[in-house]
Amino acid sequence: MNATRPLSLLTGIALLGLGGSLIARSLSKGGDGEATRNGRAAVPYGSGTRIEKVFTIMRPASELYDYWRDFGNLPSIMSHVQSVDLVDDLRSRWTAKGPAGFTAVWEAEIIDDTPGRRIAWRSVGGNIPNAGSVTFTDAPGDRGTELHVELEWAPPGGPLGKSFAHLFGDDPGLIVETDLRRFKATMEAGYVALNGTDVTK
Amino acid sequence: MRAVTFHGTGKVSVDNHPDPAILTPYDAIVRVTSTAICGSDLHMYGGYVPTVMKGDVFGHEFMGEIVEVGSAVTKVKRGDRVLVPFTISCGSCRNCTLGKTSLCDNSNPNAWMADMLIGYTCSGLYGYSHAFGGYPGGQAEYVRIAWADANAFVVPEELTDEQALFLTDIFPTGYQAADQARIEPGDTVAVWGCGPVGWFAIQSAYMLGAERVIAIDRVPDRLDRARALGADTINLEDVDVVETLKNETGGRGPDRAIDCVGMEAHSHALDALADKAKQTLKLTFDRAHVLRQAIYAVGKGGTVSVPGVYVGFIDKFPMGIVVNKGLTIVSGQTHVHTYVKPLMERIRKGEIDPTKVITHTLPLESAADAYEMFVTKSDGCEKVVLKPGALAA
Repeated sequence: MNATRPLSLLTGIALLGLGGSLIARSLSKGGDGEATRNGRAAVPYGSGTRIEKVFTIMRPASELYDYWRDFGNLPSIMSHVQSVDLVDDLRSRWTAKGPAGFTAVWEAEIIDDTPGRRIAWRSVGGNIPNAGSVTFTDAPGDRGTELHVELEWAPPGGPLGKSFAHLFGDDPGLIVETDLRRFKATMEAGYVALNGTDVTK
Repeated sequence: MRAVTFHGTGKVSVDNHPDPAILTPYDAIVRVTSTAICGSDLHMYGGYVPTVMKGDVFGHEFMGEIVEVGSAVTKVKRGDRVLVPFTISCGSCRNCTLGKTSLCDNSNPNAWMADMLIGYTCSGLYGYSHAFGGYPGGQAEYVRIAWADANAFVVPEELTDEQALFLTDIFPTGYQAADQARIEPGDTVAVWGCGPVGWFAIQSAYMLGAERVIAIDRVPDRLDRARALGADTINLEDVDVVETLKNETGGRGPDRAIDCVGMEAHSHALDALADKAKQTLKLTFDRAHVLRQAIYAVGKGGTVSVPGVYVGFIDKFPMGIVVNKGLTIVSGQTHVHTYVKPLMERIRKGEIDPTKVITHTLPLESAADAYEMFVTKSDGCEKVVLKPGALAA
């Protein structure tokens, strides 16, 4: 990706992710085959760090879904994600870079895919267990689409959480927010605002 | 290129900077032919605006010739003579499509800073602090403009630079202030501050149907200029402003009040002296004497319109008056894009001559002297137009 464009991993994860607690939750409600497919959640329920962000975007839900569902688009939005390679229709391989040369690699699988409405995923293996979902709902009136992103990753205290902190610094919420702002600007205005002066967070 | 550069409170100089480059396919580069110093630049010059940094290039009133466009620009082209609103519009978010371009969702690259300061960012602004975008400004030989199709307005040949330039900010700003005040037939409109924005607000109030305008200031030259527009005037150094307004309006008070002063209000009133002391000690950003006075002086059911710049918090906001007199307060950065074409038409028809606001035209290289002259109001300085490329005196 273009190194001058600030991206962030978190969103990557977001994309990838939220699956963990979602899986655990559906299990606690009786679960279904999909949630238990690999036998355990990427992030055990209740043990992870969680971020939720909501943005309203002046485009139809189907268009936003289509962009997001093509994971190859995501590195241009997520500042830390270097590449996403599709393994098959449900699985993808993610490479993200943090400060000081720290690199994270993981595989993600889609665990819920409702066209035009919702995508949920979780990591499978890799050094940053994570899960996430993105939901698209119609905003009231002519206000476009509300994008609701949930991300979860392994607790910050453990070695895995520390890896995560290496990638995202001390304010991962801000990184996710910035990534989503970039997504909104890309979808609405074709490009992300730049001033040629400040390094966007 | 040469550009007006901030070096700390009360210090600017014209320095060398790299020429701007196209950063996105939607950009254009403008070679500036005319650029003005705005009263709001003085707030930055005076150190009152947070997130202004040494090395920043000032200037948000500028026009010129497009010398380069990005690959996605379709509506304007190289060679076009354009003016550029100071508020930056992406052209596509909901607010921009509704014409509320100063509320653009997408044009502030540092939206996170503005979110922290004000909750939700407004649009990016040229040359007006990092929280409002960090865009290098237009008091320069060249400027990169964002989303050129939405932000570059072609100026017809029949209009001179001096006629068109103020459509970038102060004419629409004064006009929006009067427009938002919802003036009705028979209304008396009180305008605090007869600087350039007040000068345009007075004329706009008449355009929008005001029966009478009463202008308030303390600078005799400014009051003379307001009278030349047909306004009655009050010198706040000479009389009690509130009492005079009451007596002049049959005891009703003015129907609409417009605060064209903002956060650096001058007064000898007790609240104003307390504001000044606190601002000096950095205990508050804004001196709000005029706003308080306008709220007190305006008649029942009236409107208080605030184009004046405030950046932070004010003390002693008289909310009880707002409630009990049933007032409406309106404000906002200017949705310049919405007003450019109708106001350009008024200029073309000769309904207003914006060039009369100009008191000084100087080479860009003289910017440091121009700022000092403007801030001290010496030599009758009201509005300075700077010309890049001209030889310094």
